[in-house]
Amino acid sequence: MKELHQKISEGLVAADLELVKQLVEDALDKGVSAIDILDNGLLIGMDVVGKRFKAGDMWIPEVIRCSKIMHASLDILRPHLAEGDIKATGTVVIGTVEGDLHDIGKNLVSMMLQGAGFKVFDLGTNIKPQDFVEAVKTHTPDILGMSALLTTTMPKMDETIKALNEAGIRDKVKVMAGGAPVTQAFVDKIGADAYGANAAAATEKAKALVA
Amino acid sequence: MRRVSRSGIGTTAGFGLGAFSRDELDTIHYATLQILQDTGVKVMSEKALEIFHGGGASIERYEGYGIVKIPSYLVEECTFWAPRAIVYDARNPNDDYVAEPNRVGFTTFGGCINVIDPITRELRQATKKDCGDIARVCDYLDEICVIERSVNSTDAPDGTQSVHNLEAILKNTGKHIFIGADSPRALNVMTELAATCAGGKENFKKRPIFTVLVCPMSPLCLHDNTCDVIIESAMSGLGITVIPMALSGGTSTATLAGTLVTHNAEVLSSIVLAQLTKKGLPCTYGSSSTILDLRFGTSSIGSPEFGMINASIAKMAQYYRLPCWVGGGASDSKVPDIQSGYEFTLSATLSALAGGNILFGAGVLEQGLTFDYAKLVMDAEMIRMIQIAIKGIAITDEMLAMDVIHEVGPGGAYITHEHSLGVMRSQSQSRLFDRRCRDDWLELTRGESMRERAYETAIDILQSHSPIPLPDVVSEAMSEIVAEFEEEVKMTEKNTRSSRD
Repeated sequence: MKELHQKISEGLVAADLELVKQLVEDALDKGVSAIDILDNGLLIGMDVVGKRFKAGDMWIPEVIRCSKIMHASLDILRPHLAEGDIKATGTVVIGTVEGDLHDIGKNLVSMMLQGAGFKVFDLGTNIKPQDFVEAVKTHTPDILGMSALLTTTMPKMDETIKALNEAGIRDKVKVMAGGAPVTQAFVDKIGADAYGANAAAATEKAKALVA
Repeated sequence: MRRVSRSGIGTTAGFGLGAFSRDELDTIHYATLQILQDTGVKVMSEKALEIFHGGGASIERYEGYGIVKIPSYLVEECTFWAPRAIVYDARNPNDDYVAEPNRVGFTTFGGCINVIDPITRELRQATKKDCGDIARVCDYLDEICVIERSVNSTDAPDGTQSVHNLEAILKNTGKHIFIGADSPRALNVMTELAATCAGGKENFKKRPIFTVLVCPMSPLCLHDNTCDVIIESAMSGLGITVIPMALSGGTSTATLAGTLVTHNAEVLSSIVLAQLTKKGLPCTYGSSSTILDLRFGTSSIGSPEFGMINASIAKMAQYYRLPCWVGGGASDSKVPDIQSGYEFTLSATLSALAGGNILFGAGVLEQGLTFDYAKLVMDAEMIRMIQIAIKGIAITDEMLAMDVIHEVGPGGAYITHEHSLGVMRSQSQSRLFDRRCRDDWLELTRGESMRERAYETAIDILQSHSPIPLPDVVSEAMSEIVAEFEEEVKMTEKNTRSSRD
């Protein structure tokens, strides 16, 4: 069985969609549990992907492809997962702040979070503080992620945190901020919980927040 | 959608530099012919004077030299005899270098006498060990296409340095070598050394693994040693690269156009001598020309003029349809700093755009006096970038990717499209240069300057890279040849001294 897990994680790293789908189905046929395939095959592969990306050996389009394979595998596994299984990692609500339409980085983070087993509600771009608040109320996520590329839209992150405070739900959710101009100092200033300099770092930070 | 073939559309492969019109190149050529015919060249070797005379040049004899005046037909004919495209054979056949028109490769500067020690970072005299070590780093670096003798073995006795240089280099690289010879006799010994490496004299003749650098003395002089080394090379069938050092304002006119003319005359007269000695000898059109900085009295190789002169010389070589060896990427800075980076990039880019076949300049500082290991490694990184830049942008159906543009549409994302995945690895990649975000850069480098990482890289390469090996018997035979020659030089000197006494 160990060998099969290894083949799945290696197939994922090699970004071979057909192979991974086949291996996942084989594993299910052989009676391996869905959560076992997820934890000891797919997620281990995504971990390698994250590390290689950070080292500069894997490139963004490759990471995206691996994430897509992860999603396709999850679609196969989902009917076999028990009620409690899927909550394995955590839930994230994510979006680009009001006045900002840039979403390449946000989409990447969203994909990598999903790759790492998070359930992600992606609100899209140009999201008003009040809309973030509503989404947190609706989905009760572990983490709220905000993205901005423009220095002029960064203050919206501060406003969103204030809106969470006013709604009395700031302590119900961890807040992460990211985007090219965002720094640790800025994140500290607005009172967010964490920040990742890039998609891989953000995924690591998110995992740490829900651990 | 159907996009069928196009017929006869004009295309340009790669970015280039149109330095001169055909008329301007002709003008330089005619001016050179006139100099060679009317002003002449001072030749100090009796053997060479005889060869020039036999070929049809007129000789005016003076005490200890002759003024050679070469008719234009002889110049035209001899430049035509030299082979067009040259393959520089290497001990490792994978490293054979093809110098077809506009193929742009890089190597180091040559003949430095100092190095900055990569460990102590102190300036000291270059040794035979450095000569070998630098060759080993260059053997490892893909960006370096051939090996130039970058530093002199200043710890070896006078008159034997070129032999020691070659021994050190042969043991550390499988690539083709460009190297000067102290004397015709030293060249004999060097040929013997290389033949030992290349599996015997016959094999060496078929695949000569080194080319001889010969240096006329500007303005318009061919010294006896230069002539005799050219003749000896030609007799042994060894290709030559002619590298006059016309210093604009010092040994050539202070105007750059005039410098190109006398430089050209110096190269062409050397080629005439080589071709008259052996028709068809491979001749590389070379240069070490630049300006004499008339403010400080230094031969500046970090100046824009260094790039302008050498890019122009590449154009002259193309005019004669000869492979070329030109400067590109040198520096006057005393340390591998920001100045050295700027200076590297300007002249290397100019000469690369001009289509020079081999650009020398990597690793050098201080007007060519000092070699630095970190600079060599940093230059290699920039060489990779320049080689990508000169490839230009191909305008083809495949590269326009119209279907992808339609498919992604307004507001779509290319980063997630399979097309990007397929072509992404053609993007330039930085290794030493840092393109990461600040946090990742800080984590990875602790904020250390690139220069520190470059020294570490050089030391790593020295410790871990092993060039294509030589059998022990060959290494031993080489050491013997060198020791014998050293003894021979010692004896000759002793005899000369005693005959004087």
